[in-house]
Amino acid sequence: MVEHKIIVDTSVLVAVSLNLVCPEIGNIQIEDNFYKISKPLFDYFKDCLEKGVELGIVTSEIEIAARSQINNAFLKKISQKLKIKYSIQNLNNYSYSLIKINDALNQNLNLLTRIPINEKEIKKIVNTRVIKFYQNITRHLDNINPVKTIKKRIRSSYFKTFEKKFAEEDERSNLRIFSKLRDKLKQNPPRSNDYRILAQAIYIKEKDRTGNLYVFITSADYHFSKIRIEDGTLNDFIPSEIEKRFHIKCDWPDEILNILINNNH
Amino acid sequence: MITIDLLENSFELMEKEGKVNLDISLPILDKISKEIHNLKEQRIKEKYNSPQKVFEIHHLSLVTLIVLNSIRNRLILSTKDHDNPISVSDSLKVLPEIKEAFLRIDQKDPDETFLELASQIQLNASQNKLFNLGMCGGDNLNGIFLEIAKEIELS
Repeated sequence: MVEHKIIVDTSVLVAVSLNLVCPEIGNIQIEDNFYKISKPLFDYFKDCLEKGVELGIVTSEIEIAARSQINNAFLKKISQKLKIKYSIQNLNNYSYSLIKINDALNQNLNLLTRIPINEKEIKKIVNTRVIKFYQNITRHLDNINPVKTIKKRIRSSYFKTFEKKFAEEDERSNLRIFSKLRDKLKQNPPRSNDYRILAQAIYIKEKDRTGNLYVFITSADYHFSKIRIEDGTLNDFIPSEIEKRFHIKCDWPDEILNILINNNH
Repeated sequence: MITIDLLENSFELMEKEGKVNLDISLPILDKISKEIHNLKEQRIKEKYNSPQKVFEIHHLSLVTLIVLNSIRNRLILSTKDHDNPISVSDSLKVLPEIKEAFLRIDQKDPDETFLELASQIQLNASQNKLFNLGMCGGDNLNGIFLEIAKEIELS
């Protein structure tokens, strides 16, 4: 029988908990950008839990990070909505809402299972495989040089004008996306927490002896999931590489829900 | 701080005896609430030029006062709710963090944020059925403080 385990990353936990109409002043609605696509997955977790099926997984590290991040995420949202700076304006009136947000996080965490982790194994996976994996994909992105590829194709063709046109067409997405992704990875490389989340997914996947376990990571973080580039294009280079290398599917919560409902792996 | 230790000792004794003693516990609880409330006011005055710090002091004090008030309400209802002495045992589980909150608010120039401790207190208290927001009505924050202050005054 096929079994699913979904590791819920901090970004999704924060997203699904950050939705509140603040009663203090003017019923301001606070909502994380990923709330709408995260909530249905948690509703599904709840339904499954009521039937005795535990799908969602959380580790103590993710939980601690979510607790720490949600306070700042909430205050940031309030500041944005009120167009004020948290550092210069008193936000005391929003304490009640912060309590409600923390309450929502606690309730969402109750839908997830805490898994025991073998620390020694996790460290080993991080050091021997995960760090190397991210180094390799960064190097791979460095090597994708669309301008070079176009020139090479033009050089080796008799019909240079046509070849230039075709090559530019073929490389258009690379020209636009890969350089941005490469720059992003260099400016904001994965942190040790990210390494550990992937290592934990690998650990769970490899501990399974049945071969019927599908492990997912649901995240809004581009170190795992697809990313929306400024022009609106979605790029799934990193999740594709993770899936190819470790057989772990990483995606936004709505896509994971779609897979679970349709059993479409 | 000494008052919290006093409450802890009293609770331990009540747990041992298997019975809540309201005559002992309520005055101590009210004294602690007053101390936290006063300390909060004092720190907020000192930190008036740092809204970020003021919010943290305010929030941590509020969460702590809600827990203390929830303990108070549960103890009062413990006989009627057949919650005697479980209410005391549950209260003992949250007191170390209340003590920690008191210490943090008491610090003149704390480095670390208070918000994570506030979240932790809220979680632990919720798990021990000691975080009752019902009394707040959810309308506004000042209302919560007013209600708590009123209850303290009445006691």
